[in-house]
Amino acid sequence: MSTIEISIIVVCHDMSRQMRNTLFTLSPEYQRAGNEIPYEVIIVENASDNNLPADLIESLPANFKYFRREETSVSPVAAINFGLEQATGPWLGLMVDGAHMLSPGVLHFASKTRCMSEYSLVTVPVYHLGPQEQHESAADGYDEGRESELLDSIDWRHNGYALFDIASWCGANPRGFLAPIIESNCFFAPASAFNDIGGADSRFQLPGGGAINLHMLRKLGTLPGLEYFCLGGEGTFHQYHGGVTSNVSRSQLQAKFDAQLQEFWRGGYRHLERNPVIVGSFAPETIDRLRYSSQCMERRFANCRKQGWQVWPDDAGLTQDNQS
Amino acid sequence: MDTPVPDSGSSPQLSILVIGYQMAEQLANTIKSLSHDYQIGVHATDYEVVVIENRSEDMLSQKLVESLPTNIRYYQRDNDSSSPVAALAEGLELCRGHQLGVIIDGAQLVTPGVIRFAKMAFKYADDPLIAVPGYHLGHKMQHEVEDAGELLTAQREFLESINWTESDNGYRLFNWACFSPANRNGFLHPLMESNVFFCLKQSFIDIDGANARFQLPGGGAINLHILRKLGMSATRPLILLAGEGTFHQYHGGVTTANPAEYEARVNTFNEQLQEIWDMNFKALRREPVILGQFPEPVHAHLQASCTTAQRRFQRLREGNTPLWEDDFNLSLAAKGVVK
Repeated sequence: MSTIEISIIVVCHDMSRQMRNTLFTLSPEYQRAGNEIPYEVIIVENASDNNLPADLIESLPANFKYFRREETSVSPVAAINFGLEQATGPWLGLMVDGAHMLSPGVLHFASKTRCMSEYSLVTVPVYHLGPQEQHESAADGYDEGRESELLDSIDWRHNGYALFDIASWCGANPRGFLAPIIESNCFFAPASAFNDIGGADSRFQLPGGGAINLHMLRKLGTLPGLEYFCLGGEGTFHQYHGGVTSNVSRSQLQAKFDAQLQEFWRGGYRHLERNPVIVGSFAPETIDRLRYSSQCMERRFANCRKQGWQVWPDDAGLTQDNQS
Repeated sequence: MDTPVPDSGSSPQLSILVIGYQMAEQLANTIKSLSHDYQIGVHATDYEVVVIENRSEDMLSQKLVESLPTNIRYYQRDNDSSSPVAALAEGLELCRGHQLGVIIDGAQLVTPGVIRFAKMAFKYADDPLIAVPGYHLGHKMQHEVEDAGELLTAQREFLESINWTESDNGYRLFNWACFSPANRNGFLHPLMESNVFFCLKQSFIDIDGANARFQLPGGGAINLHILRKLGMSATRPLILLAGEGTFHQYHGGVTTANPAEYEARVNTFNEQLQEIWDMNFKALRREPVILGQFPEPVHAHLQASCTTAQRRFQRLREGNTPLWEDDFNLSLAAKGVVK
């Protein structure tokens, strides 16, 4: 394998079942043209009673590096920064929540996007496994057992796009991927850009890092000159794990997350409103998502026109960098 | 060939070759749509346009030719055939870039992001095939319109009404357009042709893109032939600029004029095409990589494309047929399996 071009950092804590699946979806065996892409996966696990088992760690592909660290905080920000330090590639992918499985074209199209624009931010839309967003489906009895059955019902290891058939839109992107997305759980940018934003801000010490993911996405997306792409035909799929925002006490935590985020952005935080350049192919399982995204975006155009709003204020440069 | 140029002197990476004949009004619009003050995110030094006009009684005016930007070079020539193939071959010699864009029918207006995204796509792979979906201006395919005069008038009025030459307004072309006959099922179906495509100049030469056998009026089906020839290489990914478009302006041309003769004419073209392809010519069944942004007016076409694509996928899955048959066969061939 030639010099590493892309380093993907995956942070996890107390989710060994989910990580087994996530790591398979990051493997060269699963990822399209995976053996042709010089990438590495940096796994950073904050220790718990549910660590990755030894058999899984020993069977990891040669381009995977595993680090287990003790962490007293409930936030992953230190683990993220640790992962950023371990990465050797000039281009980084960040998965703050290791519970997200990937569709098979993520690495291929991220790598191709880098060929087109090295100084770019590349996002992957987010989905939740299950019939609804998981904090809602859990109330109807959705749990890890149901999810395992759901995954067993499709041949996702050979056709990862089948994940779209058992997934729902995530609240992070309720209007699809052509309208502004609030969050991406797998995004790529140059290592220098991660450096420019100071990595993960250590002030995000709420459980799960609070809104660190949203904060970093906007910080990166508003760097001058950075081009913005979205892999619309791909997805990350959140597996249920009783994590920070997927079940009870969600609204209370969410309020804290939002409050903290607002403090960090002068004039208030707004999600990134840039017109994405779409890159990728659209498997049959994704066509419904594409159509829905198009319908939502059409409504946004009409609404913005009616209200006299800019459709893409961050592109238009009308929004000054309001970060404190 | 006469050369009342201007010539910028420098050698750009990308050359776009445009052939025109007896369509001064439409060709002038097409050239305008390729100019750097209309195209978004590119500079004049990023590319050149080589315009070859076969002489007729309806030529670009001298005044217009003299006003062309320095990166647009204009040539006129006599043509002893009703086919543009000779002009294509001669024009190719004049293209200085190693990247090539081709518009065989100079009546094709383009949207403002075509060059920006084509340039981006040239970085996606060493040897890409870049296609732009084709539309006809008007709500009906132009060969179905019976009153040519009415269509010409409506076309002029529409173009004037949207002030299309002003930057982003070019996307309003989608508002009065329908898919072209060759891609009537939308752009997520296999492509039959692209009226503006890009590839390496060397790739175009290697496939004998200016194949002199295509001597039927307008070159017959040469455009379809070229797309498939270029597309049938496993190492040449197909990249589709789905948020962009080319818009055929009615001009009384070979396949869009005289509806009564349309079918017979297209049949003649197809016969030649099938003869050249040993009765095995098909639309290019390769999965496209979608690249680009989706401005508001394109969404209706995107949603229509989704609907037809879904129907096709369902039909093929029920028949246990590969979704992208040419990809499948090229992959077998790469493994040494002969079908």
